[in-house]
Amino acid sequence: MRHPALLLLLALPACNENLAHTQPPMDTFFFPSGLALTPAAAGNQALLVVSANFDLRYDKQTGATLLSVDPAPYDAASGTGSAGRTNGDLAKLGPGGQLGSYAGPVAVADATTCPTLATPAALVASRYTRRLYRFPLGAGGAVAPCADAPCDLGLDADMLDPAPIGLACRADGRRNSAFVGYLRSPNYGAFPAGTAWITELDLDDLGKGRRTMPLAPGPVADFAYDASADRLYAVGGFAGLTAPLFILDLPNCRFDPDPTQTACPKPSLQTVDLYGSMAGADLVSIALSNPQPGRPRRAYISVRVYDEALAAALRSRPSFDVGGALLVVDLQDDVIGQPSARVVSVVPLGLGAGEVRVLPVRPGLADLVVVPSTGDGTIQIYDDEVGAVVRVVSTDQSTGAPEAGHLPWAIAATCSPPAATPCAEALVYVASFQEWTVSILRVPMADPTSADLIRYPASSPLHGTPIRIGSYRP
Amino acid sequence: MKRLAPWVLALAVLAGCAKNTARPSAKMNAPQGVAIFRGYGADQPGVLRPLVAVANTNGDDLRIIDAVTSKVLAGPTQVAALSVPTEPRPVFIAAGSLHDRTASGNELALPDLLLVAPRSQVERPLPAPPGTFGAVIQRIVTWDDRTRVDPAVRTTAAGGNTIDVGGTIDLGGLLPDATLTALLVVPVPEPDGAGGWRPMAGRARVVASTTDGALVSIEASRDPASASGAILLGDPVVQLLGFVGLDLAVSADGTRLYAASLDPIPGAGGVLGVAEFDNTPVTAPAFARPLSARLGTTRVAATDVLPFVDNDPAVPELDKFGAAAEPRVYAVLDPSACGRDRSMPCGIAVIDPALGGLAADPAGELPYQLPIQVPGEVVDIAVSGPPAVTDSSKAGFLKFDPGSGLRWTQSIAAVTTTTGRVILVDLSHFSVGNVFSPLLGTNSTRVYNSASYSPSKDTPVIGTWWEPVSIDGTPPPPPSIQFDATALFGIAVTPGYTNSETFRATFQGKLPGLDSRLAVAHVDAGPPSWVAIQEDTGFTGPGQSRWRSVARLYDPRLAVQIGDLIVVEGFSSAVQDACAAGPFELEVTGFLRPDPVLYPGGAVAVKVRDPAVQPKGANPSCLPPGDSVVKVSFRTPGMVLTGTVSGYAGRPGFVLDSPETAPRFEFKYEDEQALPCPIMPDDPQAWPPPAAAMAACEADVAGCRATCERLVLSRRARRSYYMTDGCPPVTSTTQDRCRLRWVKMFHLAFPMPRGPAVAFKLGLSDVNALPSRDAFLVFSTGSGLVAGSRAPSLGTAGSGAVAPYGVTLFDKSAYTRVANDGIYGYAAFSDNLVLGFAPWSNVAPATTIR
Repeated sequence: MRHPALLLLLALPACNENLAHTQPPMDTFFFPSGLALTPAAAGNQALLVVSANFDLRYDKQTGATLLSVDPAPYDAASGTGSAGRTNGDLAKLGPGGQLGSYAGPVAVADATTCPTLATPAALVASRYTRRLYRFPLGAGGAVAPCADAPCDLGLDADMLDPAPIGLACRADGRRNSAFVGYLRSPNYGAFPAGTAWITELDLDDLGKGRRTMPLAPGPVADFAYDASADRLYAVGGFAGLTAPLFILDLPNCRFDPDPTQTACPKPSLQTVDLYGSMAGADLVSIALSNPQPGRPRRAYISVRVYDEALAAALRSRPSFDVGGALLVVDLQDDVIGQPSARVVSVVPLGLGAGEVRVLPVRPGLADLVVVPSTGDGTIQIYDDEVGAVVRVVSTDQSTGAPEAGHLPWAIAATCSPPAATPCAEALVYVASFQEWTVSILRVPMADPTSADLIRYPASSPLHGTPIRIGSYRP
Repeated sequence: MKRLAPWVLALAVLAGCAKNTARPSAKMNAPQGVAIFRGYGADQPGVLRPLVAVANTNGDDLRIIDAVTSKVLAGPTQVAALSVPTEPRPVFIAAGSLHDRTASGNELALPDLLLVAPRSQVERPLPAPPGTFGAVIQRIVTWDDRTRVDPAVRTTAAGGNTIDVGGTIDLGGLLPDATLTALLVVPVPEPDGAGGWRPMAGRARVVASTTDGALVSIEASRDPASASGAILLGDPVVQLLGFVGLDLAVSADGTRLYAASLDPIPGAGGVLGVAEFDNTPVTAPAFARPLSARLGTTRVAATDVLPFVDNDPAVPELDKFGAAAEPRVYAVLDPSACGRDRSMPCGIAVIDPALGGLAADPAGELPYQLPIQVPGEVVDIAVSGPPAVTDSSKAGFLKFDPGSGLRWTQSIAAVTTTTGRVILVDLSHFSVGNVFSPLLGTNSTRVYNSASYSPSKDTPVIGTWWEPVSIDGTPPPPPSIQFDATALFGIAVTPGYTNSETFRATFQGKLPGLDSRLAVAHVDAGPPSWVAIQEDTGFTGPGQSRWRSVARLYDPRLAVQIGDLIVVEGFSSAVQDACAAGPFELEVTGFLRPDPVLYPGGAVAVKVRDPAVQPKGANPSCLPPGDSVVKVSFRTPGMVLTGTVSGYAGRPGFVLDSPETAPRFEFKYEDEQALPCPIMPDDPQAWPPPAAAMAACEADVAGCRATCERLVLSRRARRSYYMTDGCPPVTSTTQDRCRLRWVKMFHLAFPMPRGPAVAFKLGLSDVNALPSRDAFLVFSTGSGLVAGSRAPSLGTAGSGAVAPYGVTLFDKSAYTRVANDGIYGYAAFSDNLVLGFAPWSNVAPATTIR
């Protein structure tokens, strides 16, 4: 009787295709975990897509990729564009680059985010190698393997799971910093596990070292930078019954990696606990409102909600969510000059709220905010002018499948065309982590209720089906 | 097989334990809306009964629950809960009676109108072009036992657009850019022949507000041709309001409709508050007037309320109330425009339509009735009057038990908030229900500990004067100073005003928020001439802020006064060598107006303090001419009282002799309207104040700033709730203590006593010396208020108390005719459950329907 079991055990490993040292494909997405946009040729934009190698199917050290593609609709005559291309082929911009597995979000340091930086670059952290990878961006938004060192930097060896990246570049060039957060942290010195740690890097001199500093309980899940006040916001994830919003007033200088040098002080930290506004809140992502005269600056924070009592009983975060929400937070300095954050609205979302993005400014009107929900595969558009979700891209009525694909997580948004002022129409790119494709949501800025995925036209045999970038997961 | 036999047997036995008659679970999926309606269920064909319709938002369907038994209705297969598929993401759900009557005027039991709608636009089917989206309202068939979205189709043209007013009311043609913000079913009033109004028989009106500022109304009527009582809908009537209604409510008599809005409502200058509509026209509601709530509003409810007047010693559980119920509108105030330091506290504003604005303060103190303050941000609100069937001796009242014992009141509200709970509000008593008694017991309003601390053994300790009162007519002992743990004997508190917080009275203490702050010290020559708390970002470009972390020293809310001390204690690296001698101290001599370039928060003019009180070796002239970055702390020259909730709470002095006649220090409310402060705009973001206002204040700086200080303190000591409890009849020693404490010691007058948040007379252990800097007396207070609430309980596996949304109350006794059933409520929680709860019992378990 034992022999069949033994045989079965021997047979099981054979089911796992051993591709441990196989290089990843450079012509498709797989488990896309990060999206970003950067200027391309002729006033267009390039879409940067990080593929995570989430299942470690490919080489662990180099199995994730960063590809730059032309996200425009496929034009058979010119051969340009990736959206709707036959067989899901990609119109790549440059060969793309490889990096360590479990790659996370991508941050783009270019003329928009870091105007004084000499060489535009895309930054991605790998949770597997615990390194930050730098990919110089060529003309037209092309991504190529890094040729000029440093191409990757080791992050703090004591910390785990570096993922979120925040860029904090001053317009006057006095400081071009990147901050990396860690999704997990062990006990370290006097700081308990679950403390938020961030590492600062000087984008003008990546080789000079790094500065790592603790904040407070609640590992950083996402960053947002307010360039007008040189202030960095970060949201902290679960570390007990707390939902911290970290507000860092950054110093007007470049840090010195030598901790004994104090000429450039550390950022001053203010922590606002949003937990009192929503029990069970686990902060996921943050985006800031467009600055407009006469309107208060706001933060939009996507939240996954867990069962508070169960968390208290388990003394850890329950493995399942019970809800999702968007917190609308007023950010205004109080009369004593300290940044304050007040939740003015809690907007229910679907399960598994993901990255939050603010669409381009609508002069005279409050912002439009887009949040995907991985749990039910929806994409929700929140209109802060009316204080409600005005459009939900939901499921296909006939198949029940999410129209933007299962597990929509990473998103990126831009105006269409990018330079239009005011912006009449926005495009939101949404990556399906499960199906390995990117869908495109068109949002009329004056009428967000009629936002919809870009679909094949009536002349196409796929009439009405959403157009995707990339091929479905094999 | 032999070894397996016992297991097989055990499994067989276990299988026998299972009940094959068990009801299916509800399988809620992020439900958001709930409504009670009369309809039929397939489990009891032909039986008209109250049911709960739940908008099962992420399930894209409705679930139906028996409102009396709280059991979910099963679907046709009996193995799953009944699912009524709807358009995607149903959120709004509304139901209402058509008030059917026989020819003789007797009530006729017929099914109600039930409607459901998504919050967002949904794709419209053919013949609409592909990719066409619009707002829809769906009618549910309640008039047979196959509950479903009405499949009826009737197409009509309104405003040049074709719309379907069958089972699905497609608003996309009329309002292409709109989504719904609220949905309500209201009666259509008609004169009752006796000077009043009554609901028109066989009629109802659907009203909905939309994001583009429209009010949609649709007339509903009973189909005379239908034997089952089908309901017909008329054509939608759209009115453009000029403001966005965020929520709708109807008055108890059905004649008035109310809409909450954050926008100014048409009226003199644009009024913030609630819009009132006349609902008596037979065609559609007509805008009537704005009702001021002083601020914009987000949610609204309305009912007739019998207000509390006094306690009744003869019947302690049933107070004395007003002669007649009065219409009241409850509107949740815009949380971004209210607060402790503003003219309007946050909460649920109480509007008296007869006054056209906020109701009068029942305690006669504030310029308006205090908004009802509930923990967290309000998500939804439901109101209820008394049940139809109740104890014969308590007719017209309802049982209510927030946790502090059963009592009777006339109207209540259930409020879902972001705290994850359903908060119970006693509308007739103007406040949330209280889990505890604020007058008696260990959880009453009180000071529960105190301590004295002095940094030096050689300097006096700070205490309070305790003034005993006579209990039995014999002269009390003389006043004495109490220190440490007994100092609390000399501290008075007032239920309804005192918060749960820790106070600290400190000698030369630091002003809240002004401790170790980065600042700019300006030097012309010699010592600094002005100081401003702000941090230089180095930005100079357009759209950038040069200064951040700007403390508004000119703003009276920061409580800086002329004569305050500034300890300059930290120096930038540029001047570290010059100022190596360490800290030095300055004194505030005046205020400098905000200057957008130099100091946007204003600055204080300073002079060097007397060298005799400077730190050893201090060199106040160490800074170079120009602006230097320093760290500063602001301190008061004498005592300062600060609270962890209240912040700056005043500057008590010492009572060194004659404690019987010396006035006590009181952190108390004063009439705000008698305290004009031109330099403190109500909106803190409206900064700086107008130049004329600053000039007016500077004409009499001392008087103006003293008035502003009183206004700041008054708002912070404002009442937080109405304490309508009274001391119980004198039957025991404990109850005697109630009067001894509150009436004889604290001199409070019931009902709804008025008094200071805290009051005391400070004393010193040595009247011939001053305490050391930072010597303090610390004490903690308890408010005696914990809001009564209901929340799901799942035992040790969790509470499910997460993100509640819609809530409704209904009169269960009207159907069961059992007085004990009373008012019952249902609330939807995102944790995939619906909570059934009884406001009248804190003991009876709430029902969790998952």
